Amino acid sequence: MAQGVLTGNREAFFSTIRQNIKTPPGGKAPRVENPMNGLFTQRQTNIEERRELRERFIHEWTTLGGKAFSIKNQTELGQVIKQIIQERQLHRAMRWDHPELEKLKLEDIFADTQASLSRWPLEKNYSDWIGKAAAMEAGIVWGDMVMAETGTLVLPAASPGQPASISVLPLTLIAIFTTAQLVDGFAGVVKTFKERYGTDLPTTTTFISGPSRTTDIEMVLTIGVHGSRFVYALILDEGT
Amino acid sequence: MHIEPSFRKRYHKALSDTAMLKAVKNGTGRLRGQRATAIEAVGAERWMEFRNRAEAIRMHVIQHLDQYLEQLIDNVLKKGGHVCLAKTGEEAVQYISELAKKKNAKSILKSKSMVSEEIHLNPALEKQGCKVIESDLGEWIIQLAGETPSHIIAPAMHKNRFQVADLFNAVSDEKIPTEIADLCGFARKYLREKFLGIDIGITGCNFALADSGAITLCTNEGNARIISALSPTLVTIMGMERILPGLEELTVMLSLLARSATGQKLTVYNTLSTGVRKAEELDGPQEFHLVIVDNGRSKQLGTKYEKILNCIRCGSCLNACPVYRNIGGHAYGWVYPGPIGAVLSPLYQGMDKYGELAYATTLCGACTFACPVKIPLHDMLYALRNDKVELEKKGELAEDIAYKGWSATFASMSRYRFSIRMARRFQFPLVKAEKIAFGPPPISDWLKHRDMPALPNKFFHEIWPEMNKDRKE
Ligand code: SF4
Repeated sequence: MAQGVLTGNREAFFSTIRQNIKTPPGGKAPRVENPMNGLFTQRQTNIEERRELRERFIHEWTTLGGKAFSIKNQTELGQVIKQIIQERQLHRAMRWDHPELEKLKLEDIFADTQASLSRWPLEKNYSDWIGKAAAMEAGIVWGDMVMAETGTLVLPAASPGQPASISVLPLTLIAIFTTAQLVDGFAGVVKTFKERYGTDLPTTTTFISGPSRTTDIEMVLTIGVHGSRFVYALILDEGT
Repeated sequence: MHIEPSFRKRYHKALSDTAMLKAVKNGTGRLRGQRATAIEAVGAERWMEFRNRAEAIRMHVIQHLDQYLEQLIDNVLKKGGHVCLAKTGEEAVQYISELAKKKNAKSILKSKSMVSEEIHLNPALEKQGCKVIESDLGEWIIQLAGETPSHIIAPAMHKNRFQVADLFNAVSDEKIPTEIADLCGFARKYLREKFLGIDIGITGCNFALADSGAITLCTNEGNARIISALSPTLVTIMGMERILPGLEELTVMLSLLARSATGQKLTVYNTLSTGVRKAEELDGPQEFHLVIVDNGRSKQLGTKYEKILNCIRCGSCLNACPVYRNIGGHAYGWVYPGPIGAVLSPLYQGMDKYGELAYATTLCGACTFACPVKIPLHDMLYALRNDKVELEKKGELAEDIAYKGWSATFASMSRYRFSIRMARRFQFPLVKAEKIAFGPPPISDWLKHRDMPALPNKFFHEIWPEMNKDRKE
C-alpha cells in the first residue's frame, strides 16, 4: 500500500506543543501501567463457564432490545432461521464469506423458504454492489468475539469477504456464533486482538451492542434509525 | 456562527423561551437519572477507580502529546491515509474545501463532529456548491432549523416533536405525523438515499489510537459506521488532543464515555477504522484523510487549564449544571455549552468575547463531580474569573468600595445589627407577599427568576435569648 501524504508544516505544528509541554520532547514515556487491571474481568474460561456467559449475554442482549437463541444443532438452527425469515418477512439476505458460516449450509436453509441468500461480494465494483446491498433486508455475520458483560458483538473485518456493510445496512442483523466466542468483556477481546493482530488492526472492527437507537427527539427511545432495527443472536453450543 | 452582542442578551432570550427550557430540563433530568443508575450498577468505589484510571490516562497523553501525535501520524501515513496538520481552523477548512473541489464532490455526508462546528466547515463547503447533510438525527434536525447544537450529546434536546415535524415537513413531499416513531422512520428513509450517493464522508473522531493509527467512532444510530463503510473518500476531523496510546486505554474510555453520556454500558456502535480499504476489499474508503486540528489547543498545554484537554465530550457536566439546565445551550454563544463551554470558549475564542461565561456558574462543583475524567471545572471557572478581572482591571474601584463597605459592616456586631435593622425598616416599598418583589438593577434581574424572602420581623439573634432562657429553665 502506498504511503499517504502529509500536508502542513510538521515542525510548525509541533512547535507550540513542544514549547509548552512539561515533559522533555522526544522521550518515549512508559504508558500508564495496566490501565485495565481491576476494572475488567481477566480470566481464561472453560466450556461450563462460557455456557454461563451465554446466559449473561442473552440477558444483556435482550435488555438492549435484541433477540437471542441457544441452539443445539443444525436442525434447530434451520428452524430458528426459518422462524426469523417468517417473522421479518425476509426475501433477500446477504452474508459474510466466512468459513464458519460456510459450514452451516445457510443457503440450503434459505432455499427451503421464499427467501434468497447471497454471499459477499455481491458484485465486483462499488457502483454495482451498493444498490444491491441497500436492497437487502437482512445481513448475516459470524460473531467473531462476543462480550457477555455488555451484550456486544465484536466484528473485525478480518478478510475482504467480511465487510462492515453487511452488519449495518439491512434492517435485520443476524449474528451466528458458538459459545467458544464468548468472553467476559474487554479484557478478553484486547488479549485476542493483541495475539492476532498486534498493532496491525483490520481495516474495520465494529462493536455492536443491540439495535440502532436514538433518543434525539424528546429523549424518547426509538429503535432502528440508520442501523439495524431487529438484531438476532444465534448461539450454537460448542460442546455438541 | 452569529454571536449576539452579550451573554446577558443571550440568556435573556433563553429565559423567555419556555418550550426550550421545558425540553432542556426534561432532557437533562433523564440523562442525569440514566447516568446515576449506570454508576450505581458499577458501584461507587469501582466508578471512582474508573475515573482515577481515566484521569491518569488522559493526563499521561496530554503531557506526552507530541510523542503520541507523531506515532499516530506515522501510522496513518504508513497505512495509506493522508494527514493534514492544521494549526488553525481556517487551515483545516481550506484543506477539506480543496479536497471537495478536487473530488468534484456534490454530496457530503457528515456524522457528528464538534470540531467541524468549531471551524465553521459546513458554510464553507456549501459556499462552493456542495450539499452537506448531517446524518446524526439530532444534528440533522438542527441543521434543518438553521441552528447550532444546544447539547454535546443530544444536540436537538431543546426541540419538541411538533417543532421537529414542522422541520421535516418542509423537506418532505408527504405530510409526516408528529409521532416520534414516524419522524424517525422518515429520517431513516430520507437519509438512507443520501447515504447511498455519498461523494465524501466526514466524521468526527472520538479517539484516535497512536499505536495502530485506528480511529474510533462512537454512535448509537450507526450513522458514522455507515459513512465510514460507504464513503469513497473519508475525512476524519480530530481535535489534536483526542488521542490514546492503544486499545487498553480505549476500553477504559469507551466504558466511561457511554455511562457518563447516556447511562449505557457501551455505545451501540463503536467502530475502529484504520482508514483506506485493502486491495481486495469492496467497502470502506479508497481514500482517507485525517485532519488534525490545533485551533488554540496547544496554548493550554503547561498552563493551569491544561486538564481541559482531557475532556472526552460526554456532556455529563452539562446535565449536572444548574445554570445550563436553566438557560439551555444556545445562551453560551459558541459551539460548546455548559461548564465545559464556559471554560473552553474563553480559552479558545478569547476572553474578550467569552469571558463573561465564567460567571455562568454557581460554583457548586456539580460539574467537577460529574466529570468522568476529573477535570476541575469549577476551579477553572473561578480561575477564569480571576483572569478576567486581572485582564480588564475594570470596575475595581466600585467593587473595592462595595467589598470594603461590606466587610466593615460585617466585621462589627453593632454595625451589622444596625444595618439589618435599618434594612428591615426601609424594605417595605419593595416587599410583596413576604418577598422582596422589586429592586433596582442588578437586583431586579436577579428577582425575575428567583425568590428573595423579605427580612423577618424578628431575627434569629433576637429570638435566641428567649429560646435560650426557656432551655435553661
Ligand atoms: S468536561 Fe468532563 S463532564 Fe464535561 S463533557 Fe468533558 S469529559 Fe464530560
